[in-house]
Amino acid sequence: MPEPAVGLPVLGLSLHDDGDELLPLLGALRSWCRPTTLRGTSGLQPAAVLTDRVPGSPTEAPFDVPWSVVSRDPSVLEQAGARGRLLPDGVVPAGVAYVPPFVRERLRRARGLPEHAVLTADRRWTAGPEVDRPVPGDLLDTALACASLVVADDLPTAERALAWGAPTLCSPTVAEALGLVGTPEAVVATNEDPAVLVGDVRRLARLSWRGRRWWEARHDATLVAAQLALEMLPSTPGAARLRLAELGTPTDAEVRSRLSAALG
Amino acid sequence: MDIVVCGAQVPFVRGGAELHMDNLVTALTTAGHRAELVRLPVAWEKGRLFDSPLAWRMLPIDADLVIATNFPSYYVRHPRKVVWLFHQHRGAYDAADAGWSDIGTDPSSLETQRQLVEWDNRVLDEAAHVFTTSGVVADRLARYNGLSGTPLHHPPPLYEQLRQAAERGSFGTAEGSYVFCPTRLEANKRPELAVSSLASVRPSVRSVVAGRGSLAGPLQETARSLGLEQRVSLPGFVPDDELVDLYANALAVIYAPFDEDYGYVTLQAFYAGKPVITAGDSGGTLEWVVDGETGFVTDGTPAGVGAAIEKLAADPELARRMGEAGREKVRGLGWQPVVDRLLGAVR
Repeated sequence: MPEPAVGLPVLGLSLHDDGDELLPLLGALRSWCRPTTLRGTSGLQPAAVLTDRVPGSPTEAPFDVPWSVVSRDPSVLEQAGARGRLLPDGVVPAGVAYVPPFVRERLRRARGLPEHAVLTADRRWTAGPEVDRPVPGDLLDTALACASLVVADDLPTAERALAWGAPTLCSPTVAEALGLVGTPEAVVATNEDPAVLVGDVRRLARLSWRGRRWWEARHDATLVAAQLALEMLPSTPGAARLRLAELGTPTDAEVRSRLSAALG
Repeated sequence: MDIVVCGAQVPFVRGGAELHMDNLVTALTTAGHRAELVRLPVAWEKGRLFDSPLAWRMLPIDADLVIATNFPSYYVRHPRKVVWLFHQHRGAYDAADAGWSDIGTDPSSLETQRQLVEWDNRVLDEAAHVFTTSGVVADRLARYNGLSGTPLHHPPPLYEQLRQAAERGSFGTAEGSYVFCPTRLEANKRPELAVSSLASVRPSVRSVVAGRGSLAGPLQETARSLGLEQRVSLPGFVPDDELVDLYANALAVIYAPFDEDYGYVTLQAFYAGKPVITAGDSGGTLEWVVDGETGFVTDGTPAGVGAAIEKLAADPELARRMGEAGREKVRGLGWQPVVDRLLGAVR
């Protein structure tokens, strides 16, 4: 984990658990602040506080600076209300990005692939020149980025598909394993005919974006760190970079180069 | 309440979007609020596309509420943000393959589109509510972004004057009649249909195509080549009073653009009590024109448009009935309901 820059504001940590679960988030926060336990601030006034439980009574303000709660415990999040945020457990894998359905369609067009291409649970295409051969493991990410629809009958494939923003069809069992209870159809399709679903562009677009949002809230500490920093530490140095991070901008995006050039 | 309306600026260009923003500010002020318009320049080409969105993201807007309108003004960051979406950057979405768009299927274009959709989704998702100018814009939002938008219609500029003019208007004289086509003279508006369609229409019907644009010369040439110089008038820009009169005394209005977002011309025609001849791919216009009821939805060919004109020329009473049906269709529009809906989204 890189050492944070000295000029950054102090983020006070008020943690009740051992903190290991927070490591991805704290690592990402170090781009925008100096996370320091409240006991260890040595007289430094924290600009904001991050905690893993709702402190004090509902009527008392526990901190005199902006504060937020991160947790994976639904009861804690419910208690925290608007201050609560799901604690992410990692960062976006290298090379993975949100790819919406209409860009997928243009990707396929550019590569001479079929208009509709469903990746089946046994990792075969339903159309196109490769229809009879399973997709090799080293090309799985490419397939997940291009597919009109991914049928996933295992948890890792479903999660990877959601990370790519692939509209995903899975069994109720896999949906439950993902933690989707109640209304899984808001995030993934279940018990539907892929041949019908693939023709519903509005549904595919909705599944794509909701799936990606659902995935990143749980697994993208970089994005959550940027959102927390903007909420709690809006005047932290690097405001433009912070806003680029909040929008999910890739590290090699051209707009970052333009910003660097403009800042000199 | 202090309300900031946010809009994009293309220096030296003024059209429907600018009128829309100004009229919204006026409506908010009339409703008793302090309202101001904040605009920032935008560049549409790929290399600079993300500059203005990032600038909007950085702006400190101190107001009780912001209402963002077109791309990229909806990138403004505010805890009480309502979006009334005029349009996104169509050159990267539905018009990506249009001749004027610099977006192709090369890797750079695809990454630009991918990033733009992701950015658009994030900033639109954070709004308290997303309204759209029309069902067409809401449908694009659903198709390309997977997001919901609520169509919120509003009256066009000059609607009061047109409503009054309808009372004194006519559908032609003993000497003949004319069809009216007020539009920018650009390819996506297809003004040539108001010229070439006359070839299959009785000689007593003329065409007035009012507006400026790059197609003024080619339209004159088309009229000349078809032997229609005496029947086609291209007055260029016309002032508001003259525009209202031209609407009021037309047999019908021709408005058949390609995939219009909303289309003030259709609404203005209805306020003036005129039927509208449009095309099946004209987008937002089709939310108003019902074939055979408030006008004609044609196949967009000169022959199809000509046949519709001929029907109305042969039966001015039909034109009057259709125009009346159009007036009825816009009767419920008003700015106060618009203000109530926009502000009600954050109460």
